[in-house]
Amino acid sequence: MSRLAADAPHGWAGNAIDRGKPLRFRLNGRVLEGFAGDTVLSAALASDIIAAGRHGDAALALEERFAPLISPTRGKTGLVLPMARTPALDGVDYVTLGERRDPIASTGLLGALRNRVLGPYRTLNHRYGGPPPAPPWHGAQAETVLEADAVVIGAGVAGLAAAGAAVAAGKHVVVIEKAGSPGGAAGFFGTVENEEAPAAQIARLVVGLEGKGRATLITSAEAYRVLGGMVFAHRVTVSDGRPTADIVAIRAPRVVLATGAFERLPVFPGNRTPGVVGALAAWQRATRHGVWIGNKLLVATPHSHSYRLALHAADAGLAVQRIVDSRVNPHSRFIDFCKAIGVTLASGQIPALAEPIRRNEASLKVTFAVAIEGVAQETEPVETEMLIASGGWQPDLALWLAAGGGARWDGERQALLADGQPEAIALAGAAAGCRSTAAAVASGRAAMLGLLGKSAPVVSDALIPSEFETPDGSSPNARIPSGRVASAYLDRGPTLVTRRIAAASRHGVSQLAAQTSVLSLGDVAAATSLGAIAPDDAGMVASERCVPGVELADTGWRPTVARPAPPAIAVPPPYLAGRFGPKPQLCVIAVSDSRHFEPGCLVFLGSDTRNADEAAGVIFAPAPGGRSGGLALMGKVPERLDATIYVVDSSGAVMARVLERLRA
Amino acid sequence: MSEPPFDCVVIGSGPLPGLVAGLLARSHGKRVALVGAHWSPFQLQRQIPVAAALQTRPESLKLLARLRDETTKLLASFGKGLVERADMLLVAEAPESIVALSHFRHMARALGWSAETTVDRQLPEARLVKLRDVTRLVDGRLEPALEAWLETGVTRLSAREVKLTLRRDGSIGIATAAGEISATQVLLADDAAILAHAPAGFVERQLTPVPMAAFLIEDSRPLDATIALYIDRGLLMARSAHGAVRVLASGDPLSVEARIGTTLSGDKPVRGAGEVRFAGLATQDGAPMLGAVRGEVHAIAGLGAAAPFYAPLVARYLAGASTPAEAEWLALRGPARGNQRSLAADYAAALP
Repeated sequence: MSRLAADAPHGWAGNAIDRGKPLRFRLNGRVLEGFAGDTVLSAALASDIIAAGRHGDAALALEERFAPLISPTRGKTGLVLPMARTPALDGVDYVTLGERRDPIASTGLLGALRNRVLGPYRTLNHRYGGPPPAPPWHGAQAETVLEADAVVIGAGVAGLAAAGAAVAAGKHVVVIEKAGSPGGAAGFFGTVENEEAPAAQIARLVVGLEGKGRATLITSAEAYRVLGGMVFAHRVTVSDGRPTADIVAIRAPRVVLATGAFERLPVFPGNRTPGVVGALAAWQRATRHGVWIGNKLLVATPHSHSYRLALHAADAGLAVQRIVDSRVNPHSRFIDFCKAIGVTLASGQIPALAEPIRRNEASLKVTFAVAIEGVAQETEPVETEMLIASGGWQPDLALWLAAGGGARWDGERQALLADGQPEAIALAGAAAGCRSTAAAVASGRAAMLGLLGKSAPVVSDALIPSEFETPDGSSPNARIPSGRVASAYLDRGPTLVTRRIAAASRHGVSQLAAQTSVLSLGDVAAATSLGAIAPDDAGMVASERCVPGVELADTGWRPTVARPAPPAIAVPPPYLAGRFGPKPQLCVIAVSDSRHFEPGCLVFLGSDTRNADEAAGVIFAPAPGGRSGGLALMGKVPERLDATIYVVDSSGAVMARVLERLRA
Repeated sequence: MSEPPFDCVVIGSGPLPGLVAGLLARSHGKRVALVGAHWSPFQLQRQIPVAAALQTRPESLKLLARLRDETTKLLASFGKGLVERADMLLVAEAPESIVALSHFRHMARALGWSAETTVDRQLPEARLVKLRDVTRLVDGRLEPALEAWLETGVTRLSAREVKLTLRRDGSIGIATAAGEISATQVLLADDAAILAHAPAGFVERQLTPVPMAAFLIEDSRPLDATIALYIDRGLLMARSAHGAVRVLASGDPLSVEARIGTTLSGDKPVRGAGEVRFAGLATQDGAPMLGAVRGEVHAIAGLGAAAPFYAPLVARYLAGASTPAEAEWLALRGPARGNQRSLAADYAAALP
C-alpha cells in the first residue's frame, strides 16, 4: 500500500480520509482497500495502481488529469463518473470505461494466484489510440437549475474571498469546487513572512461565508461551461451508499472564475511514465489522502516551492535522493533548509529521460541533462521510485476562453495570460495571474466587488525580492537526441500531443497546426515555448483550439419552416425582379403531357435553347389549379398564344404553349 | 510623413484582400498598403473559399465563372496544388430555398455547369443538388504562397497599429504607429474591416449583421461531397484530408451546436476540436455589394464563399479598369443602389 503513516507531519496523513473507517470496493474486478474519504482514484493509487494504460509504446501514468472514466456495475444505468471526484464506497463494484486489454489471469482464482506470485497489476490496462472521448456530461442537459446572485468557480483562497465579498454584500453566491473540500493549492505555495498560514487563512475565509447573504458550496463538482449567464457543473454525490451524479445549472448575473493554475509538464522523453508526478499533484495526494508512491524520490524543478515539498517529504520519512533545479545557482530559504538536512542538490540541470526499470514496478531510471543550450551533456542515470517533475505555472483559463475571453502569450512568464473582458465574468487568483497568496485573496475580493459595481483596492502582487529568492524559471524542455524513442508529451491531460508532432514540419509549418483534436492550454504553452507556435499566435490558438471538447449530438434540429397560406396567384420571388425586362407578364404554361415544370426551368420562344441569355422567361411556380405545366414570368410572350414555345427541364427542351396571361 | 503616399490601402485579412492588394500592385502599378493580420496556420479560417454561390442571376453566375478561371490562372503562377476541384452538395429544406435552389440548378445547367439532383435518405423532404468539379482554394497551401507573393510591391501594416478616419469631406486619414499615411483610396475588404471602419450608420442602412462561427470537428459520418452547403441550417462544411470537417456557421448562435450535431453526427456524436465566433455581414437584398461608401472609401460585402475569386474584378474596379460588362454589373451592386436594388436582388443573403 502506498499510504503515508497516520502520524505523518504537515497534514500528510491525509485530511480527507478517516483511517478509522476502512472500506473495500472493486475496480475492474480487483478488490481495492481504502478509507472513508478516499476517491476511487486515490484508493487506486494507494493500492499501487500507477498506470492508466498505454499509448502506443508509452505507458501513461494514472493521475488526476488523466484517469479513465468509471461506471458502477449496478444501479443507475449508464452512469459515467470521473475517478478523481467519485468517492470510494464500501461494496461498490466499478469498471473503467474505454478500450481495455485485461490479462487472462487478472481476476478469480487464477488472478489471485498470479497476484501472489508476481504481485498485483499496477495498471488499468487501457489502450489509447488517441485522445479519449470527452466526458459525456459535457453535452448533457441540466437536471437541477439554481438561481443565485453570483457564481464562483473554485474554492481556493481567491474563490473563497470572492464568495465572502458577495456574502458581505448581502448576495446569494454559489461556489463550485472540484475537490471534496475547499482550500485549493494555497497550502502548497505556503506564505511569505508575516503572512497568515494558509490553513488559518482558509478557515477564516470559510467562516467569512456566513454573513448578510448566503453561500452554497457545491463540492466534487466540475464546472465545465459558462454560457449566457449560466454556469453548468457536473456534481458527484452519494445516495443510499451508492454514487450518483447530476448536472447543475446555476443562473447568475455574475461569475468569478477562480480556477487556479495548473502545473506545466516539463517536456522530456518519458515524462508521463508511471512514477513521474507533478509537485502540486504529489502534495495534493499526500495532504488529502495520505497517498505517496514509493519510498524514495527525485525532484526536478524550476521553482523553489518544490524544495518545501521535498522538506515535508523528508519529514514524512521519505528518502529525498536529489533535487535538480533548472535554474543556475538558485537561492531561497527552502534551498538552505534542504542543504541543512543534507539533501543532494544540483542546479542548471533538467530531466532528460525517465524510463521504467522493470514492468509492473514503481521503479524509474532518470537521466538529467545540462540546462545550457548547445551543451549535450547528460548525467549518469539515477534509479528512483518517484520523480517529481515540476514545470512552470499556467493559469487555468479554459472556462475563461470558453466564455469568450481571450489570451496572450507572456514571454517573461512563459505562460498564457488572460486577455479581453467578457461581460459579467471576472478572473481571480492564480487564474488571473496572481502569484502570491495575498494577491490571490485580494484579487478574489476585487473581482467580486467589481462585478457588483463597487470599488476595490488595486491588487498588488508582492513577490519575494530576487535577492532573497531566485524567481521561478520557465518550464524545462529537454533536447531530444536522435534515436531516443520514448515519447515526450506536451501536457499531462488527455490530449496526448507529443513533441514529435509539434516538431514535425510540413511546408515549414508545425504538424500541430494540422492536429484535428482539441489542444490543451498546456499543449499550446509548451508548443509556444518550443517555437512550434509563434508567440503572437499563441493567444489566438488558445482561444480557438482550447475549447472544451464538447460533443455535438443529433438533437433532431430542423429549420423552422413558415408555411403561410399561398396567395391566389403566386408572386415571383424578388431575385427575378428585372430579369425579364421592366414589365414582365405572368403566363400559365401548358404542356401536352402531365409533367409539372420545376421552378427555374427556362422558357424559350424558339427551338434554339442553347443560350440562357435568349430565354424569354422562367417557370417560378406550379400552374394554378394543379394543372400540368407551370406558371412563368415572361419578358416576351408569343403574339399567338397557341404558338409553340419551349421549356427546358431536366430531360431537355419540351414543347409547350402559353395557356393564359394572368396580368401584365 | 513616414510612408510614401499610397494609391490604395486595402484593409482586411484572408485571401480576397491579399489578392486584391497584390493585383493592384502588380497588374495595375499601384502603390498599395495591406492592413491586416498575417496568416497563421493555426487559425481557424473564417472562409471556405469555393467558386460557387447560390446565385440565380445569369450575369452573376457568368461573371463568377470568368473570374474563377482568371483567378485560377493567377494562382497557378504561385505554385502547384493551391487550387483543386471538388464536388459540392447544396441542400435546401425550406420551401423558399427549395425554389431558389431549383432556379440556381436550372440556370447553372444552362450555363454549362454540372448540377444534378441527388437524394439523402435521412432528409427525405429536402432537395439536394450536387455540383461537380467546383473550384476551391486549398487552405493551408494558398496562404503561405500568397504571403510570399505579397512580399513584392505591397506594404504590410498591422491592423492593430492602424486607425482610419473618414472625414466628412471624403478625405482619408490613416494613423499608424509610425505616423500619418496618406492614400487616395481605401478598400474595406472584409466584414471585420467594414464593422471597424465604415462610417456610422452605413452598416445599419446597407447591411445586416450576422453572427458567424467557425468550427473544427474531429470526425463525422461521411459526407456525400467534399463541400456541403446546408442552406437552411446556415452551415457550409468542408472535409479535410485528415477526416476532420471544417464548418462555417451563420445565424442564431445558440443553435449552432445543435445544427452541426444534427447534420454531422451519425451513430455517435461528433466532437468539436476548435471554435471561434465572429461577426459577419449580409447584404439586405442578397446580392453582392461593391462600391464607394463615402468619397474614395470603398467596401465589398456579400460575396460569401466565392469572395477570393472576385479579386480580379475588385482590383480592376479600384484601378478604374473595369470592362464594360463588369461596369454594368457593378452599377447595380454599389452600396447606394437604392431604387435599383430590386434589379440586383439575389438569394444568398446570409449564407456562410
